[in-house]
Amino acid sequence: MEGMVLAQPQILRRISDRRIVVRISSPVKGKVGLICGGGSGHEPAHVGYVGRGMLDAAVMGDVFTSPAPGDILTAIKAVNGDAGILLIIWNYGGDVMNFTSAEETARGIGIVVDHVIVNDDVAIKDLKKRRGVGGTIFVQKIAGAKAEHKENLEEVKRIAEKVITNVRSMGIALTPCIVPALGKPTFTMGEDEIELGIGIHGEPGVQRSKMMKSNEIAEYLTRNIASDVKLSVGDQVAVMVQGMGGTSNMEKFIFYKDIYAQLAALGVKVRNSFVGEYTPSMEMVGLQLTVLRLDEELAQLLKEPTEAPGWHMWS
Amino acid sequence: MFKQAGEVIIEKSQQLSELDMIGDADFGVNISSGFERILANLSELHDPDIGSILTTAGQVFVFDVGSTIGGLIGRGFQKAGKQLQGKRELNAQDFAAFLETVLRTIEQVGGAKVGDKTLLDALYPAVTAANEAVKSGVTNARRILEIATSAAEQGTNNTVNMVARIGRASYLGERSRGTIDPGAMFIYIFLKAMAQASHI
Repeated sequence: MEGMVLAQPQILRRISDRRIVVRISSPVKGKVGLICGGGSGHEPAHVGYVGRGMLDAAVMGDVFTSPAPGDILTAIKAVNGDAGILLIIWNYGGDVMNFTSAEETARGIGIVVDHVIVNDDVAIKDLKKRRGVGGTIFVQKIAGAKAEHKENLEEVKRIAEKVITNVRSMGIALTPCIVPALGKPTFTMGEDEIELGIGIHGEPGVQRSKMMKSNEIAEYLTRNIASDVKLSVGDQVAVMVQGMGGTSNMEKFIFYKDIYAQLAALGVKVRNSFVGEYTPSMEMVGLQLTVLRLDEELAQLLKEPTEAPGWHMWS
Repeated sequence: MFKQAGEVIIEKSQQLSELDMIGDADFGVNISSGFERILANLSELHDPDIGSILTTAGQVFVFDVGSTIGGLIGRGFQKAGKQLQGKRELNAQDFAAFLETVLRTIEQVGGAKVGDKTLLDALYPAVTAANEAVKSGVTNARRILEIATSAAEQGTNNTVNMVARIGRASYLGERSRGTIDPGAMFIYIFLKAMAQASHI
């Protein structure tokens, strides 16, 4: 976290020795304060998304560990511009528990706080248990743009919910990752195996398979996402391709080419593309695909500028 | 006694993390960092009663450690701490009641049920056994602790063949069978450490 803040000292400010980073300009009066957070290990998420146009604060825990309600409450107070706070929570037991706990405490001292829960990972069938992954970043960006217009909390929440309704993700891995505290990989894989439907916390996926080619992986992920969010001919989308932390850029672009072809075959037009690392998982070698179905409102907000250092858009 | 239990937990933290490899492997470090801070905080309190010890421990877990286990066990300890305010010794009933308070609080806050393959699958049998022992006339607190520990051990071993229905392991469905749940193991280790410490 120190490194990230030192790398962008004009925008980012750390709160004492806690794992909380806020905008230097905080609090922004009259603007809904946006906060997101979770375990470390997914850099640039979420510290990299703090800045005008996206988050007001990021609250982080230890690697893959949910942050403490005490820190979340500190962040809420630090970015309270008297227009309410929206917590963007990705759907993990610990994060939901700790963020809503801080929300309750903040409400108890008179701060208006609400939240949305992101659950975009189609690898998990049960909606209540569905993980929040890459789609969370689109929620931050679009809600962030909305908030920057000084819209009220209800509006910002509405747009965040709209993104959640229209975004889906799924990932695969070729290797596990090493959680620093444990010091060894969280699971083992053979050289010729692939883990399907992985999360971003080093856990095994939902299924293991023999190695697949890029176009086969593209077909698999696109099919699962398209059927879940019911993509149809003529839909326009934003596509995010990530490497999970350990994949070469070249491979990400090869994969992007195959995703583009899959979507084209479905009659779906890619309006915006994002290729890089957004919510990786330490040094895992893998790929994560996120697709957001756009309408005009979402497309406009997605394009608006942001100074958040971690945001990167290819087109 | 709490202090000794804390030290044992810290030692065992690597083992707990390895069990947590089914998920994200952070369990052991969360628990051990929690206990380290609790021990540090406790050393600053002047002659705390049992309620204060538990409340302090609970606060550290909830506010400093965060994480899932921190939130659950922290709230359990806080609730129990309020109940045991002013006490310097626990008799058999107190001890059973303490365990039950922690159990009920975690059930309420965490949303898991017995059979979901969580710490409840060690804690529930421990509480049941403790209550039965008290009802059947056992008055020695140490004995209650031993009975609870034994039940927790059994419960923990039973988690091996369960499929996880909540938490990160639950994403794996059938693949989550075959390993002991780290939460249950934590309950067993904690009770065992307290039982050992109570003999000193």
